[in-house]
Amino acid sequence: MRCSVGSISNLRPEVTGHSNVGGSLWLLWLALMIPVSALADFGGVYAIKAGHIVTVTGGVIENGTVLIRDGLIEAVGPDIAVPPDAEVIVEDTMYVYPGLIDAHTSLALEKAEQPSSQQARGTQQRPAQPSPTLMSPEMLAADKLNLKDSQIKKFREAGITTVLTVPDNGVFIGQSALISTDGEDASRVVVKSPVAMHLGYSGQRGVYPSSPMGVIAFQCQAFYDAKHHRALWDRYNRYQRGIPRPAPNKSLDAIASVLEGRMRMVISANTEYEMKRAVKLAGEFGFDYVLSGCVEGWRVVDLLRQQGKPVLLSVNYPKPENVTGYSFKLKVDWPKEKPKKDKAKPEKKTGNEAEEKEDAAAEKKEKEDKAKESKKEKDPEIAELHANARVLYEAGVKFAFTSGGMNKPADYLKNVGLAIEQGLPEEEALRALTIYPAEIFGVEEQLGSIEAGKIANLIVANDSLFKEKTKIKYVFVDGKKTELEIKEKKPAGEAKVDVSGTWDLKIESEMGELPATLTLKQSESEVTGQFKSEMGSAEITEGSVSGNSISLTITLSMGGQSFVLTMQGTVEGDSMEGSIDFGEMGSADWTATKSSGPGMMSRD
Amino acid sequence: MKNRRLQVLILTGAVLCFFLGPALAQLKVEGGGENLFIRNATILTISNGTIEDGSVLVQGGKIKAVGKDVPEPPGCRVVDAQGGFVMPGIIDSHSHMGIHGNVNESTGQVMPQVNIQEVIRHDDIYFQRALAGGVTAINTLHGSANVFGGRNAVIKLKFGKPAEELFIPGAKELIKMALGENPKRSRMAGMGQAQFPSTRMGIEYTIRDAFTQAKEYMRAWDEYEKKRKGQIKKTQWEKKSGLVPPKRDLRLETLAGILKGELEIICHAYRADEMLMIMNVGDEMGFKVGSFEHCLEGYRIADEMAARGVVASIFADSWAYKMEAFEAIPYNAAIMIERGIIVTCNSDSPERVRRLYQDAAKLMKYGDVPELEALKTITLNPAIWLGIDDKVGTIEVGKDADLAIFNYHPFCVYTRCQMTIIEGDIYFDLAEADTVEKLVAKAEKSD
Repeated sequence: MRCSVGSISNLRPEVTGHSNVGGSLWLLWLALMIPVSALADFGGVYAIKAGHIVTVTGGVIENGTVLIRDGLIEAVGPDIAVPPDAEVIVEDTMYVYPGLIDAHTSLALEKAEQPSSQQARGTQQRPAQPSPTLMSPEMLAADKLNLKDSQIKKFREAGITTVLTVPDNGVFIGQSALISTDGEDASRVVVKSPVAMHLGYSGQRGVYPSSPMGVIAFQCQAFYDAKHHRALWDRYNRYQRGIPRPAPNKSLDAIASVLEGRMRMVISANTEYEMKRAVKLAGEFGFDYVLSGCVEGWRVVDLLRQQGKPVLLSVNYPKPENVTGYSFKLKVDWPKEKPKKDKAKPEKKTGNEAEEKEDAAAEKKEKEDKAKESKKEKDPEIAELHANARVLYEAGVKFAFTSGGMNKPADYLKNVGLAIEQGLPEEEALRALTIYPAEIFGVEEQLGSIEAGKIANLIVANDSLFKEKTKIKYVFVDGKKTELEIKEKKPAGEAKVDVSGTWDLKIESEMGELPATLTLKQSESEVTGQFKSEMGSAEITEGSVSGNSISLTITLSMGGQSFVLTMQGTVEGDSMEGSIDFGEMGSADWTATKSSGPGMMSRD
Repeated sequence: MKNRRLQVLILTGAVLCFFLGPALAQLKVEGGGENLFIRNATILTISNGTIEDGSVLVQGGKIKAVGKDVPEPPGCRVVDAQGGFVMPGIIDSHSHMGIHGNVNESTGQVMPQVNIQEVIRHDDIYFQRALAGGVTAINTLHGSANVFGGRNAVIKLKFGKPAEELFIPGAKELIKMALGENPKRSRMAGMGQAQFPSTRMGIEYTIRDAFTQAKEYMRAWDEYEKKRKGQIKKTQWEKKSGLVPPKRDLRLETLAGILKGELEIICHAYRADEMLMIMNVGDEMGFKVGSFEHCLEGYRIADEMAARGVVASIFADSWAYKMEAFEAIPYNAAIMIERGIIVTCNSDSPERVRRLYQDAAKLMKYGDVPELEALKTITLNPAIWLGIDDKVGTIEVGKDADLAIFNYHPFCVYTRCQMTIIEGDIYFDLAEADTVEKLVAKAEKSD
């Protein structure tokens, strides 16, 4: 590529300088034809000949061809002539789909400069520092992109080629960007920016607003402030003499753009209460909005229908006991068994002779998982949550799916599958992953279906997308091909220690020593278990051991907010030590000693 | 496994204790239909004496008839009270139940702009427990972490109904205030930073400062309105550029609402000196204190309170449970009632709320409050204070059918609430609730 870029800069002066030279006409043609696509690295020219092309907007084309050039879909149809410069991919049995869209993430963003735990709490000398996303409506996510985010690759490999991204906490959070999951070319990663302004309900401890009622008052006051700000400036723009110059304020200007209909607000609202509050707020101030989250949408389906707007629907299902109205059931169902933890399966890839044994083991595991899952289906409370999308569909509410902040992008499609199990038609699920988000974000001319002229975001899968065993073989983002490895990768490092058992944990925080208990269960390199402390108990959402180092992710929910704690450390026999990251609340060191469990003696 | 056995053992023990107590006949609901007829009951009407062997007829959620000789209409649900007591549904005048998230916006001393009505959680399991104690309505409040807290919500405990159906229309809108130790503690839970004020005089300053700002806010709006209507001259520039209204400030607007008398203050206070202070500041700056909550030294300033019509919302006991409460006496309620103060007895707790009838009984036992006056502290008096006495608080024709049925007099130590009814709907029925036996059976089954 570098060569081509070089050649154009070399050629151009020659062409302009010696335009009278007849022979240079050929050079001119060469210069214009070849390097244009090379300049911006649009990927190659591909012709995908596949058994089934699911266009979403134009039906399914059997045994057709999709032609990709310059990062765009050049043509699609049953009888497309394959140009000589195209790399031909023949997959007679495979399915081609538009790349999936995740309508609300916080992917690829620089970590906002959160105040340290000490600053957030405040001290005698220094008052508490507000988090930057409490009042930053003018912030552009597109200005805060971090393409080094390792999650980008995981999203892409899960078939997600476009995401809406914006920080996930705060009140007046900022303005989102629609980005592709190419992840390499910073100049082209943004598809659209700004897409919408984002409003949330997460206050911050120690700083106004900290409580839900504080957040509501804070939101209302900000809208009044923005109205007043605009009124002052409108007058000042009309007439200056004798009028004090109003203070500039980017935040209030941004909020005013929503009030004046120049930008749409996306309101993160998951619970019944939040959805009702959001609709009320938008009605009171009369601005255009879209709700995002809505995991309890089935509880307020009439409201969602009546408001007449699409929603961004999260498939990050809550736990039944965290759903509004759970206590009404306690009357009849008490005492209740806790729902079993939904254990995510490792992504498996298609066979290879050498891996057959592993495959057999994997299949056995899958069967077990399936048995677990079918057991889970029978739980009406969980089924009710999974049926959310179907209920909204039947009520005529248009929605685009979001992963709603789930940890593993691979679970996105899997969780959409759970909605299909509960009766959501597959075609509607597919539209909610492709063309609906494109329409909602106003990019339906570029994304969301396999049509000539649209961006070449495609996935090629070995079977129908929603079948459980379906594997994605190719992902095209902006015409760039990613071929997913078929071999099952071995874990990065094999575990040399067994951490199974109960550990007494001591966290050396600024508030003094915090005692806690870790109950761990290790299976090869994967670690599951529980974290218990005065702050509450929580499941370990992600855990692994590699060599003698351990890494655990714990999601604690306290007072309606969830905190993600990540622990890193090294294991030596029956003791461990390392550091724990409290996210915006800083970090601390910890030590742990095993109090019970297998392998009390060190293996080393 | 061992734990499970232990659990069963404890539960079995509980069952034995239960049967060693007085026999408890379960009430049965017979028939169907929207209307409800309660017969064979001793009715504590509160407003109209006690009716023995009486009946209550409920139609359309309202009390249609009450008395000795009410004919039983055909085609309605019938509850035979079996000689038990029917009283008005109990009203808790000070609660923090049913609030979504923190009950305190404790990040500043002046936070009247927040509103509990916006964050009512209708699925609070404690509602059901309160119903089991005959409670049908609560005044749920912002906490006492700061001098000015948020607005209250007066709701009925219609457990299972959507949040917006819980509110009692026309109930008083109150702004929580707090004096004394809670707001003056410099390191409050959830905020953790030293802040003004840290003394009682600092609290007085905070109040004066807030209302002074509110007055300036009112003046600015008043001036704008007058200019707009041409009652005051605009400046030469304003004539050309046009008027811009002052900024709407929810905090100052709420304080202005207090000064205009649209909102009343519900004030957490223990000591006589601080209560006198805020009444004096109120006289001076023009605001009314609606009630003192807890008010354990109210007996010392009963005349001053009575003169200003301040309500006392008290604990039945909690004498000397902390330094601020050190001068509390058992006769507090009796003295205040005698001086003409409306006294309510509150729980301030999702646990204590289940036995407010016992708390009211304590006023009678320890403070010599007459029975009817003691009953009023959990029925009519909170209804008057909260501005809902046209709907609830007594058993009278035309009022909402919010009723509690007890097997013995509610002040009897052996009494149990058997049924709690809101607007004619049964929200708690001891016969239908999971009994200890049922819990034991379930525990064994799942073993």
